[in-house]
Amino acid sequence: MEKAMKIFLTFILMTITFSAQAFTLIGSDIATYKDPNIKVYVGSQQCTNLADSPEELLDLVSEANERFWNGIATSELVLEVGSTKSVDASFYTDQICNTGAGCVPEVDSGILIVCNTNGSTFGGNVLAVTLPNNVSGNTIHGSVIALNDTASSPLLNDSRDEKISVIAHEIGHAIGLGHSNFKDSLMYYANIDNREALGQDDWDGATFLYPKEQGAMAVCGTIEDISNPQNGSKLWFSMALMLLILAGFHLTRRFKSLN
Amino acid sequence: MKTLKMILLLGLCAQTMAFYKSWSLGVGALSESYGKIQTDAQGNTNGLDFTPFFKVQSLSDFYLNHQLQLELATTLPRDSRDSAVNRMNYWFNALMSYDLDFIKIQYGPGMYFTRLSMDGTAQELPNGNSTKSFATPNGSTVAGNLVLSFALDAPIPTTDLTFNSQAMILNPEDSDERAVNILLSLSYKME
Repeated sequence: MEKAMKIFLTFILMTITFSAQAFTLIGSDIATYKDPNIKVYVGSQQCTNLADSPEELLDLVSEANERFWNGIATSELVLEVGSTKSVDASFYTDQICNTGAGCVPEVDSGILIVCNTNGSTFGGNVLAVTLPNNVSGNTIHGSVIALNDTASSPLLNDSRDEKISVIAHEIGHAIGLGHSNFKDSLMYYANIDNREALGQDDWDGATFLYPKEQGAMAVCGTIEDISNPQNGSKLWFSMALMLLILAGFHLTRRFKSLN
Repeated sequence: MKTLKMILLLGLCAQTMAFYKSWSLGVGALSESYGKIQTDAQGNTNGLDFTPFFKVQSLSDFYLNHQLQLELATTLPRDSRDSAVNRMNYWFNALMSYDLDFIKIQYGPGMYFTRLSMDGTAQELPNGNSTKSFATPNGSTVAGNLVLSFALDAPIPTTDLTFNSQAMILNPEDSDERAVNILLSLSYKME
């Protein structure tokens, strides 16, 4: 008995470590696409300085989705490759800003990627800029991703893998995520050479904004109001009920033995 | 409400078909989504994490020389590196257990929950050529995954302890989203 308890307690001590990461939001409050199946389109106009054709950009989008965002086990998020899309010419030349003269128009739905040559949008070594520019309340209807297509764009020297990471990072902003403070995350503000998979921050962020709801959760929708801190109580109640069921086994056995 | 009804129904069904044998308490280490998450700037992915969890389980005789092991487990809430996210996991498994004398083979479905919460404190982070204040959510969310688990349960001779190693598969039907949690635990038979 003593030996067993010693082994048991040693095992407890061996297992105690604590670690997790953090993520942020793109806006001042939670905003997400209502449907977690989000289409990503590419503007059909050829870039001015970047060599990639719209079709090649679609290929990069496809790889960005598959390599990063579409593999999160605890998230409903599915990014679909749309098509090349004919859009207003101002998307390629105007500034990426929310309102006012000289800003790009709202994106109707999904995510639109365009090459943009506006000098005011990109300063220094900025690779790309993303803006959910069609938002109502907590719902994002459309976002624009502008790739730096100026003559001095740092994207001109990027490898294919780096471009995939840049597009994936910008898609992260488009779906509602801000930056992460940690280099191992895709949402870190700068590109790194060995970007192989999402980091824990990215994984948690996508899970928070687009949580997986399988089984009965999908029917009863216990997590619709994600801004309400009290939501956990229902699940605690479920756990307490499970404990009662286990206790039921125990009591049933006792009852049977008495008879 | 339907979740609760389903859990209750599962419990009642199990109770009418199974004959209770024993219950036990356990402690273990959870490694989430093995190999799927990048952990450093060199491109390495996560291995065994040893996040502690505690579990309570009951064992009952079942049909076809099987036993039914119901288990309920939870990790402790844990903070992020910058204390911004609080993360917790809990799960329920209904495992069929087949006894090979020296070891038990276990398999069965379960439900795995991931709870994330944040307090809404903004973070000042680099953004392009300057910095920007990024908001964080003030609230919590819970993701729920149906899981399929496979386990080996090995009793430690001359003790009431059992060592259990388990592979819990999330999204087994989806090759993109499939992930495997590795669980190692030690249980102490109470009765």
